[in-house]
Amino acid sequence: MRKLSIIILLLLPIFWMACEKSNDIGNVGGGTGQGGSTARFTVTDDNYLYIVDGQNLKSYDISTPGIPVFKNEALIGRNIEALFPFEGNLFIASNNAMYIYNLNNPAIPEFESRVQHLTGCDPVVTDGTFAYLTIHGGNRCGSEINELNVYNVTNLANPQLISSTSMTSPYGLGLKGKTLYVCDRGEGIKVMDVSDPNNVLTVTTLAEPATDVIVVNNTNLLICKRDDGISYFDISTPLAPSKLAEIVQ
Amino acid sequence: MMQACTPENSYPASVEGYVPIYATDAELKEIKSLGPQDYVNPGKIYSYAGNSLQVDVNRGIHVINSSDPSNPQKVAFIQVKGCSEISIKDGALYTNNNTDLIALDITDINNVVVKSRIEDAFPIATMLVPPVNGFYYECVDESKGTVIGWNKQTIQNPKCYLP
Repeated sequence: MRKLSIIILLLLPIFWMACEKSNDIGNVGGGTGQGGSTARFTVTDDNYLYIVDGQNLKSYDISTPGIPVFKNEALIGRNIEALFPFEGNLFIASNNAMYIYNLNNPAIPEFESRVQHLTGCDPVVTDGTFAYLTIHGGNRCGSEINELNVYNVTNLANPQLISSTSMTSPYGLGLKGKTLYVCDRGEGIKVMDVSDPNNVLTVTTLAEPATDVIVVNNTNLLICKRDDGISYFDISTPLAPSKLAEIVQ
Repeated sequence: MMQACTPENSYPASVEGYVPIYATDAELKEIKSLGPQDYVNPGKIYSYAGNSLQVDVNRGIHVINSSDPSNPQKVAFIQVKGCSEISIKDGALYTNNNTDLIALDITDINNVVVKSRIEDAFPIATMLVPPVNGFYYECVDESKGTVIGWNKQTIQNPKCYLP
């Protein structure tokens, strides 16, 4: 028995090293990744993969990594563009509505509500209390509306529009605490203070030609999608991001 | 399908338009790890375990080690023709290979392995018409393979138009 204990003690550092190594690409470890606000695929900690495809939401059980098992297909509505998971709910954006589905049964998402808005292309993010949705126009999107809408979603069954703010051509967005990053095409990334949802304020605009962002959970890292590549910002002071690097070739 | 009338019901002899890029079934389904590649048409981004990934639309996925985000480095490229989406959990990457949903084991990024394929799970990825409205295009001939993208160029006597 003692011999076994010694062997285990000797082996422990190797296990620790193995864990650290898992952050290195080349030997990718576990965990759930994170996409941008314009994603059509998303995975949850509950081992489900959800994909939106035009008008349908499909769910797949991925308890066995790499072997998705089809569970359900639900008709949501027309022109579904993106989905964003948050704490047991799915926020789904179409070109004229925001839908909320609960994942009480993750295999079969259940309709909570639908909020219609003016036509436009529109990703969504949320912190569970408020949902932030951008609408941009253009010929593919069916309108010339460009704005940021804030909804109170504390009652998932009945979201309330709180405010609308005019934008130039907003695309993807990301949220860290009470700071919202909105990719407003042609202008850059608008860094917005959303402490007062009735009156969201643009604090500064970063001259970064981004079309979507990821606020990486449990870090101070903002990753930006650009038409020519990717860039990285330190957001340890959320209202004052500082650029770390970019790759554009 | 969607081979609509031209604006004046007449066809220009020569015009700026789109030409389909075809792939055979074998070419389309050849999924493999390559060394780092330059960007062609950067798409959606993803964060996973200290790394970031970026789709190169219809070509594949760039893998970037960003554990030091002030010095990110491209480390590999996963060839997946017709791809636009990405999601990762527990070492498995889910993406679309044109209209199929595929899952890759990426535990060894230099040697990714296709774990599963669900055909036609993502029909929206179909590329039977050009990505931009208001252009003439060379009509699709499905006997030439699957359309995996479009090149914009000067075309002669196009018979299709996307209003």
